[in-house]
Amino acid sequence: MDRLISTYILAQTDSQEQAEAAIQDIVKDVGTNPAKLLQLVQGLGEYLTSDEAFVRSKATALLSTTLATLDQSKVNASAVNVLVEFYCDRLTDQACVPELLKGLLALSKFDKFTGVDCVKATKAILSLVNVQTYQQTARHYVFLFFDSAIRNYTQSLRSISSDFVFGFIQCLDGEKDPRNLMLAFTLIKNIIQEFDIAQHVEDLFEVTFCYFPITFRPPPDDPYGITSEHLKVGLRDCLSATPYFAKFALPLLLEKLSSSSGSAKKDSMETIAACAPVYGSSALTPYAEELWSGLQNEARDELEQVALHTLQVITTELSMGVSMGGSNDPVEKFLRPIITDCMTQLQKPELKLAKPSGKILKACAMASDPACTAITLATIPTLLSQYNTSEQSTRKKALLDVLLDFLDASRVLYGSAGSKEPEHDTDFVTPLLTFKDRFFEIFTNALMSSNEYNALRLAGVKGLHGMILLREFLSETEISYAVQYFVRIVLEDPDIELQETALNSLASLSLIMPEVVRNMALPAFFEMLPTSQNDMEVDTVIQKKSPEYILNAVTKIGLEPTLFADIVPQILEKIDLVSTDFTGASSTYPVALLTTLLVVLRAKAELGHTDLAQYLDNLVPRLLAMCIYPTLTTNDADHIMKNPEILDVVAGITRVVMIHVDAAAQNEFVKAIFNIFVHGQLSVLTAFKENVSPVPFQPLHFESRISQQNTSVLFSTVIDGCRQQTILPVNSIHEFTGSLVEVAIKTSNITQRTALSKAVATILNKFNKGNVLQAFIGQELVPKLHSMIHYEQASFEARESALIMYTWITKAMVLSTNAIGYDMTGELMNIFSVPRLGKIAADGFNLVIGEQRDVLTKETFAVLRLLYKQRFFNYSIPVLVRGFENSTHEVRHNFLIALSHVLRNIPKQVLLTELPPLLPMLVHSLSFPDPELKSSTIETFQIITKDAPGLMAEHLATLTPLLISLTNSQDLANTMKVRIAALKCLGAQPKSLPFTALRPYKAQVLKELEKSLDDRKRLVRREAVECRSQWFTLSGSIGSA
Amino acid sequence: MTTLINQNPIIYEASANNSTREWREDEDLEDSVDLIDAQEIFDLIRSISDPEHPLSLEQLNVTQRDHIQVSDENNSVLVEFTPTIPHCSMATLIGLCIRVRLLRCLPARFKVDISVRKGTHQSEHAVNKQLNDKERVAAALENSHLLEVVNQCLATATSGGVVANIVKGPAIAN
Repeated sequence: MDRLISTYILAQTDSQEQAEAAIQDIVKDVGTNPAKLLQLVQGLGEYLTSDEAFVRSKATALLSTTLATLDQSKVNASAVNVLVEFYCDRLTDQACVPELLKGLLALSKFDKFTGVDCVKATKAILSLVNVQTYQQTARHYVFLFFDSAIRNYTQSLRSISSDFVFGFIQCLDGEKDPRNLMLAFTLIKNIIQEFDIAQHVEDLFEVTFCYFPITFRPPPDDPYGITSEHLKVGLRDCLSATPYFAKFALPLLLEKLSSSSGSAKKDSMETIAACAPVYGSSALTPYAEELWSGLQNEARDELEQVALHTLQVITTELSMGVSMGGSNDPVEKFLRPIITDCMTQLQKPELKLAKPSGKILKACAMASDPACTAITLATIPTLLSQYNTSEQSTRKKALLDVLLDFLDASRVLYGSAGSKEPEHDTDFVTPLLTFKDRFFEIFTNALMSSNEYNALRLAGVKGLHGMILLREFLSETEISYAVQYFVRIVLEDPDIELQETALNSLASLSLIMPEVVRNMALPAFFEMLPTSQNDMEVDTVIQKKSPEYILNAVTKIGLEPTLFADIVPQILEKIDLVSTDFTGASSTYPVALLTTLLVVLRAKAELGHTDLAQYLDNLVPRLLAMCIYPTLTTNDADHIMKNPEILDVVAGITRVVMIHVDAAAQNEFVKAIFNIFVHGQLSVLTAFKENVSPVPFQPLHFESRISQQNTSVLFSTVIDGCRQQTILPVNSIHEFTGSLVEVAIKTSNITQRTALSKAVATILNKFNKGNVLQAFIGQELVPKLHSMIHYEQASFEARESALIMYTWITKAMVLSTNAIGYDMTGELMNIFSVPRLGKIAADGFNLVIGEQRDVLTKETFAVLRLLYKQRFFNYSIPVLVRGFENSTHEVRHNFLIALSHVLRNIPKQVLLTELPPLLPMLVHSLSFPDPELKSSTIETFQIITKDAPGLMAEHLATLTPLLISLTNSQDLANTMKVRIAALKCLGAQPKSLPFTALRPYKAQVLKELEKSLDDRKRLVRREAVECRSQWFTLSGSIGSA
Repeated sequence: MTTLINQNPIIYEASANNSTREWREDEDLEDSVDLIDAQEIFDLIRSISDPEHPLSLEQLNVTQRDHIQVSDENNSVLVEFTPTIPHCSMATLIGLCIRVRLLRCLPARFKVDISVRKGTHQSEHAVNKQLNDKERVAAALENSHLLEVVNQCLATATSGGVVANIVKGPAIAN
């Protein structure tokens, strides 16, 4: 031990490591055996009393460090006591103070440290240490010690309360370090709460407020992470900790409010808002006038929101004061000048300064019931009479905007209609109730006045909506009138903005008052839908809304479960009508009808509605029956429900409903579906439509009727919607899958082929758990398809079908990161050189790695392994690059197409890290006359511009002329899409690349793009304007920002 | 706070960033020609900021579509604007902003005339003369301070963005 001590003490600054090692050893030694503490103290004895300050300090440091690290539970009470005594006495030794403070801090955390020790140490520090003369770390120890003391020994410290507070103030006086300040602010707050500060209020206030406003700006790469916001909040908490500060703080805060610095103003307002509730009404009252005059300018400027909030808090607080009634009531006194000022501005409500006045009144009215009542009674009658005498629409509109503010304030204060929890005091009613009839009349008139300024009518809609939303405001009759007005606007008004606002109002009402919407809105909407072919024709003559428009409106208001339940049968009824009575009608209307159901179902699913499952039992089978029966008639005549577009929508509905039921329900459903589609047994459907027909239903055959084959999309949707644990009712999955593959290749019906390919892909992806199908896929299916693709004697169609099936299976395997998938991908690249099939294989890459909207998705329970895209990317990119290099010109095209598909579908981070070696290939892509390839490549370049500007800057010399040449509209290969993409890409450069890199090109780009300003297409011109604007503003200051 | 020439102007509703142009099918067709029309010019200048207020020329009713005349075949454009008050000293600056915007955004073949609408400014003749004098405009833009002010007003200018939506029936999300 002694040896270690002397090594440590005698170590020179240059053998710091040695000292470190020694200290480690000692600490370890004593740490595990506190009995040795005595030994340590004895060993240190001579050094602690050495004449050299340096040695004493070093020895103290060793002892303090040991204390801070050892297991304190083994140190007994008397030892602690002695140590405290020792440390306190030594505090006179200035050279050792920082180390001593560290030791005291360590001791203060000991279990055996007592309140008496605490008081002793505190006194010693306060009397012996002149805190502000020491460095930051030492000061930090002091504050940490106080923190620990206040936390654990408040009771004991209270005995020296006054001295402690006074001493603390002295310690703090002059502190500048943000780390210490953060700590000090917490301490101040605690002291205010725990100790009697009455004697020292002014001192404490001064030592605190001197930091206001905080102007601290953290240095760059600040390791401590203290922001000016942290300090502001810390200081604000202190200032708002006690009402004693009120009389000192308010005049000073008001003064800072008129400061020229925006941040100081903001800080003042936020601090006033934080302090107001603590200082209380009586403290605020004397300053009421000054507060208003200070805040009013801000409320009309950038800091509007902060100022309004502050006004609101002050008003709330003043309202809490004891009300004397009459003119001396503090809140009324405060509000009087506000009301007068605002009303003066509102005499010309259409001017710029009027709007903030409305907001100010709103903020104050929102504060409390008395404030709201006072403001309402003082302003509304004037505003109303002003409205009556106004002729100008802009003025009327501006006045309505003010009334809307009042409705808003009322809703916040007195509660909204339809809210579940009664969070508002129901004893109070809004003072607006007195004016209800006038409001209703005014808003209604504004809305009904056709040929008026649109904004005025819009305010009318918003006003009625705002009134409906107030709790216990409008009567049921009034609400239903308002809803009828909205309906009329939606159905009859030509203005889009009005329609939308009214529709949105109906949509929001449909959720809180479904009853009214069901009775008033829905019937009116459905009545407008055509019921016969005649209706459709008449519609175009008189200017009625199209059925599509009305159905779109229905999708917005039909989400609520009871409303949706109401809509479903009505839509089905219309479809029945269309399919029987409309002869030779186009499919637009029935498609729109069904899409309505689909859109609402999807929106409901998004909102987590639970009523979706029930539609699997009635809606879905009924739709299936409607689609299947028409394919069974003897003559197979034209029928609306055979339309592929209709089938797609029905598939979408089936899918969204089916993925929201559990596995048990799915099993039932899938069994029924297999009975229908595989076995042709329609008995399950007869409940919905009685129709026994002579023609068998064989949708999964390659020789059956086309109309039946088309319904296979419904079948494949159901397979796609299956959960992984759902059981497919077949004897052998691989035999069944094999039969589907067979049909898909033999059929000449593309719809059927695609549907079956999807079904096969989904089965292989989802039901290959534990690799049960691995052998079948690897040894049977893939080799078979492979030889069909390459069998040159076969017809092109057969080879193409095999290739498409092959691509789909590749996708299924890649998603589940099955090793077979990568082999198949490599095989796809081999096909690039096969004439005609090559391009199809290259485009197949989009299918393989691109996300499909309607199949093999996460929400339909497909097996999607983590990072499957990255793994595909890592595998395929090197192979693609090699293939590109070793190919002839024509085949290269296919490699570039495949590459562009991969790049487009890869996550951006992966893309950016792997890009540099690919750039030459990408540049090459721009010289192929393939518009799709070009625009896709330009899009990649645009991503690079934004996210890897450095990389882009390196290639500007090649790319800029190339991009400019792509904006040339004379070249037929530069389609509109290519030209727009090129302009967008060029336009993105000034925002991302450094000025120095772009400067050489500025003149050239601006000059060349002048031609694009005269492009024949408006959309291109628009992009050219944007692009040139970016380049015009490119200059040293902006470009580098 | 510096005193503004017009402290408290009337604010009009503007159609946000959306063009009021109705979408036509041939806009998407590769070969059809879209002529430059008054709406297109209006879309170019409506979102220019007023030098005094953080409001657009459209919101202050300084520019209106009906006050623009265009002939694509004859390569001519006439833009008339209305200062917010008859003694507005900013009129020339506003005119200059419009001039610069069109200079940058229209093909060079157009002859652009910019003038104060008749009877809306007390020295309308002088303002018009300045705005249509090529050399004086060029000289003004040599002044780097002035150019910066113009660039600032133009910073908010967009080319009219989105075409008004036409409801085509219930749309399937994503």
